[in-house]
Formats: sequence, structure tokens, C-alpha cells
Amino acid sequence: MMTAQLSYDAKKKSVLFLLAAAVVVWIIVDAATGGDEHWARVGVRLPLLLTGSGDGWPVTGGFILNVLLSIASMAVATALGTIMGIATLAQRAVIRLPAFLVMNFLRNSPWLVLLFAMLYIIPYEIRVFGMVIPFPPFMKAVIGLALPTAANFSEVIRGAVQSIHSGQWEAARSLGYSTRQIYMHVILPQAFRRMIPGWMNLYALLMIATALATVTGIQDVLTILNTSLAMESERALVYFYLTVLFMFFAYCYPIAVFARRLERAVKGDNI
Amino acid sequence: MTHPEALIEIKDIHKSFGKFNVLNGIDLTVRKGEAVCIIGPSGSGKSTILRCMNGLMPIDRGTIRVGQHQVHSLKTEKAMRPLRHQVAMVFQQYNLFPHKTALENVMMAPIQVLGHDRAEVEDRARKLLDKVRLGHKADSYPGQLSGGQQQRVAIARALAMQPDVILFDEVTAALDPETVKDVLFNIRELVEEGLTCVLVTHEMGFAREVSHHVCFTDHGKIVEDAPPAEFFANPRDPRTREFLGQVL
Amino acid sequence: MLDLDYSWLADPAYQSWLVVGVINTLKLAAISSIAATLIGMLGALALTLRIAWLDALIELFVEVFRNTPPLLQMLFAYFTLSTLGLQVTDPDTGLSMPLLSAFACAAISLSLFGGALAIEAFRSGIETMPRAIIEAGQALGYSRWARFWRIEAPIATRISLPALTNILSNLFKTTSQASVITVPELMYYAGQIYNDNFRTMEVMILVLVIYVTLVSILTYLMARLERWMAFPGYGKAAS
Repeated sequence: MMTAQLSYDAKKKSVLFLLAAAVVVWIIVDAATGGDEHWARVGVRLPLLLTGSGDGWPVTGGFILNVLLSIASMAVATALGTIMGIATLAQRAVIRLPAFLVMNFLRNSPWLVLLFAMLYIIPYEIRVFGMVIPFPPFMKAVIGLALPTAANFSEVIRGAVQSIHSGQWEAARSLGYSTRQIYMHVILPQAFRRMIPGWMNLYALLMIATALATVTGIQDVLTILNTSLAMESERALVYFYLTVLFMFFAYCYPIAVFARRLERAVKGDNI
Repeated sequence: MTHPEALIEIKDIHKSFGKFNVLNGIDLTVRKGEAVCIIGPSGSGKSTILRCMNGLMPIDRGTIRVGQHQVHSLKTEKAMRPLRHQVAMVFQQYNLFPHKTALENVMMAPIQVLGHDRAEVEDRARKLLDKVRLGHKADSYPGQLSGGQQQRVAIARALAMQPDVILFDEVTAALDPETVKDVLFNIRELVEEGLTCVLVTHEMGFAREVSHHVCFTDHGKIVEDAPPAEFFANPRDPRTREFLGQVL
Repeated sequence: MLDLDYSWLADPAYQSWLVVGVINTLKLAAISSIAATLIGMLGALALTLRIAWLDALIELFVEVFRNTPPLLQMLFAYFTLSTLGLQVTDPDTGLSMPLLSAFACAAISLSLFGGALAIEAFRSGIETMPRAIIEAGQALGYSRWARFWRIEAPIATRISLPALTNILSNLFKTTSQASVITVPELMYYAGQIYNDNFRTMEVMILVLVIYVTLVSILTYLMARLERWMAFPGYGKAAS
């Protein structure tokens, strides 16, 4: 018997493969029984969904806008989160307590509500020294998504720093290092490795949350999905939704797998 | 009584964690070049005494003098740094920095803390690794070394600071029996070279051989302090007798 | 600075909207939290059986729900489940109506989303069980099942609790997205209110504060639960 000799992992892989095959078969059967019409509609709209323009160029929105939004937000969130994380580790309570308050407020607020709030709280433009800095909806979305991400990232930093065994602090102190030196030479180099998986997971989470940016009115994939669905048949709805769901999955799943692999590697060097 | 030649002078120190009194008035004097062993049942405050000596733990009451430093009056981390240059410590769990090689572990602090010249420190560090017979492991990471080897690197790291005193906190407690003797061999060498050492240990045989005097702690007090010959042959305090009866 | 006007809060109509919104938010959060926890426990339990085909199915479920936006999941449930045949004919009017209300769609999709996350949390709780505990159970002659129920499951639940807290607070926050499919919860009524009085900034700040307060209460209660379930001295470094 072949199956009896298969290992558990091999069995699981073959089942996953069978499932994938079943999905393909279902799509083919469905297409043969009238579904091809709907897939054709999806095909027509696909460039629009991906890039925001019907010909696929120039990029004015769509799923690529979601990706750009996630990258811009992550950059802002990484910078903000690092500052916040270090502030919550400060020895002086004047710095630590307000940082904690802000971090917890942001961590406990729903992303959608925060995004809405930013939409109305941030003005359309800010005047600084006679210069006018405009805040288009895209910028508001970047900030609105970066705030909760930053709060979560500061928690990742705190966790990584605190996961370093207290013996490392004692050893470094007894060698006469200053607190700043301990962070620079001993704690942060070790903590950095442990932050990376958390940072990546957070990025995947942020990418998923960019779907919310549709409320700011930018031409992201959900906005385009909704406007194009208005012109499609009710039955085609299912096909369009599946397509957009798959876009997010195809982008986020590999990141999640990679982050998990790193996580396992990092766990190995625990002392 | 005062000891003009005393390097470490501890007078009546008290320390409590919440309601639990760990140290209840400890007096201890260590002269230059002496090796002092502190033994006693677990939880009797042995390790706490060491941690108070180099300021890792603040004391509630009493005075500690190490060299010219009044340890009890040093309030900030910054103020303690000169003390830490003089007093090195080796830990039960080695506490090597896992992201640096053995050689780098030994070199780091002299360069980054004392600001010594890199080439000179490297030379010194290699000699120290040779001294603990780990010259061939200079480029290994702590994770690639056995417990005993890590502990010997930790000793080399402490020595690289060129301290006046080294505090050894149950440095063999986490090691398997075969590697214990290598570590003890290294420590014995240091004592014979005249380095001042304070050791918390469970190795009675070792304490008897190397130390100039042995202290027995119980319930946060030093109940017996005597030269090893006297300490092990004729313990005066009943608690010491009972403890030695159990472990010997 | 900010010129905030909260005089509209005195209007009983707005007050009742806010109250109803909060109640519906709490209902939605409670239902989906309980369902998600149950799904998580059952899923993790099923994974311990190590049946290859079942594990593959669970893994697929977890990865799909974890790696797609919950908002899209909710929209999908709301707009497509009825077109896929889940509809009934209203006996009075003869018109076809969706079988599931917006609230039901939101509750189902949030339960599945939270459930997928909870399976992961419980699974890793079981996986990070110290090897020594498993060996001790084996050495004491426990059977595979007795060991799971009497030793591993209670410890794993405890280990998973902080992760579960995160998931439930995440789920609570995600309930606000149900407003998009017209579930009359807090965020939905917020929209109703500022469409009525145009005090958008004031309304959003108030709603934000209400959410943060509610989520803070939830995490506080979960922290109490964690403390209550803690094994004395476990997980603390011995000195």
C-alpha cells in the first residue's frame, strides 16, 4: 500500500494539492455551465481592478494603490513606532507614562474609526510659515493606517527588548556599561532579530487593513470594485469578490509564511 | 575595628524584598589578595551579598566600601561605573552576549567601556583565552560552546577589565561534573596569582583548598567566619555543624 | 485651537441612537467572540488528532481568513450569500428576501475570522507546551487522551490566554466594520448622527473614545481572567 507509507506531512501536502485541484475542477465545470460569461466580465475589468485604469496604464488606483498605501504607511509606522517603543521603555516617568497612554489609546481604537477620525480631524491643508502643505485623502489614509500600526510596532519593540534575558543586563552593568551603551551594544543587536517577524506580520496586517481606506474615497481596489459592480449582473458579484479576495490572499499569504519561518529561526537562538 | 589593608569592608547591611528579609546585618571584610568563600543553604542571601558589593542591588541599611568607593552612597548607574571597572563579576548562567564571538565577548567592554586601544585589547583578550585554555575557540559563538567553556570565556571577560576583585556567583552550579573541574582549575590559578576573589559556592572541597577564610550564611546573617582548616574541622555554630553534616 | 461643540448630545434622539448603537456593538462582539473561541478550541482540538485531511482543511480555512480583509469577507457574505441561493420568499409580498439579515452576515463572518485566528492561538499554546511536562505525563503512565485532558489542555488554555485577549480585542474593534453593510451598531449610528447635525469631528472623537473605553474594559477583564487562571509562581523566574 502506497498511502500507508506516506508521512503525515506528505499526506497533508497531497490533501492540500487535491483541494487545489478540486477548486480548479470546480472553476472549469462552472465555466462550462455558464460561469465563463462571468469570468469574461472579470477578465475585462481586471486591469481596472489592479491599476485603476481600464488599459492597465497609467496606475491611478486599484490593488497597486493598496500596495503603495501599505508601503507608505509602514514606513511612517516604523519610524513613529520606534520612537514610541523607546519612549515606553524610558526610565523617566515623564516620558514613559504619556507614551504608554498614547500607545494604549491607539492600540485600543478600531482601525476603521481611527481612519474616519483622521479623515475629519486632519485639515485639507496646513499652512506652515506661509507654505501650504495639502493633505489629499491618500495622505490622510497613510496617517490613519500608520497610527495603529505604529502603536502595534512599538509593542513589538518592547516585547523584543524585554525578551532579552535579564542576565544580559546584569552582565553588561557589571562590566560598567551605561544604559545607552547597553541598549546600543548588547540589547538592541539581539532584539533586532526578534523584531523582524513581528514587523513582517504587522505589515501583512496593514496590507489587509488598506481595504478600509475605501472610506477615504481614494480609488483603491474596493472603491473600484464597488463602482464596477454597479454595472455588472448580480450573479457576476460572486466572481468579482472571489477575484479581489484572491488578490489580497496572494499578496499576504507568502509574507505570512516567510514571517513564520523567520520566527522559528529566531526562536532557535533563545538562550 | 578597622582594617587599613582591607579592600572590601561591609558593615551591618540589611536588605529586604517586600516583607522578606534577605540580609539581616551582614559584616564582612576582605583583604587584598584574599579568597573568601561564602557558603550556606539556598535562600540564605549569598548571591545577594555579591550583588550588593558591585551595586547591582541597592541596600536598605549599612555601609559597603570597596577600595575607595562608598558603594552605599552611589545612587545612580553613572556613579557606579567606576566601581564596576574595579569589581568584575562572573554569573551562574554565564550571561555571555550570544550575538558576539568568544573573543568579541572578551574584547567588547574594555574597548567600549574603558576606551582602551583595540589592538592592545585584542592581544590581551587572546592571552586571556589562552590562559583559560580556549584560544582555539576564539571565533566560536557562545551557543557553540559547552557550559564549562562558556563559563571560562566569562572568566576571561571579567579578567579583561583588569579588575581588583572578581565576584564569582555559583559559577559551577549550572555545569555538569566533568566540566566543573576545568573552571575550578582556572579560578585556583587566579587565586594563586594573588587576585582578590569572593566566591559563592557549593564546592566544599574547593572552598577548603583555596580560600583564606570561609563564611557561612544562614537567614541573612553570617553566623561563622573562620579560616578553612578551623571552619571545616571545628565549626563553632550549631547551624554550620548541621549544614556541613548534611553536605560532607 | 479645536472648537468643539457637544451641545447636540443633549438631544434625546441622538442619545438613544448612541445607546442602541453601543448595545448592538456589544451584542455583535459577544456573539462573535463566543463563537470564535469555540471554533478556535474545536479547531485546535481537531488538529491534535493529526488526521492529515482534516488538518489540511483547517489549515486552508485559517490561512484564507487570516490573509484576506475582514471587511471584504463581510461584504462577500452580505452580497453574495443571498445570490448563491440563501434566500426565502416573503409569504406576504411574494418577493424574495435574503435569508440572513445584515446582522447575521456580520456575526457569521466575524465568527469565522476570529475563529481562524483563535485556532492559531490555541494550536501554538498546545505546541509550546514544555517538553518536560509531556514527558512527565508519559512517565506517570497517562494515556494519550488522559494526558491531553488532564494535563496539556488546562496548561495550553492558560498559555493561549494572552493571545486570545489580543484576538478578542481585535475582533471587538473589527465589529465597527459591520457598519459598512448597514448593521446598526455604534459606527453606523455615528454616521447617522453626523449626517444629521454635520458635527463630524465631534462625533468621530466621541465614538473613538467610546470604542477605546469599551476595548480597554475588555482587555482589563481578560487580564483579570489571566490573573485568576494563573498558576502561582509559574512563568516567573526563580531567584
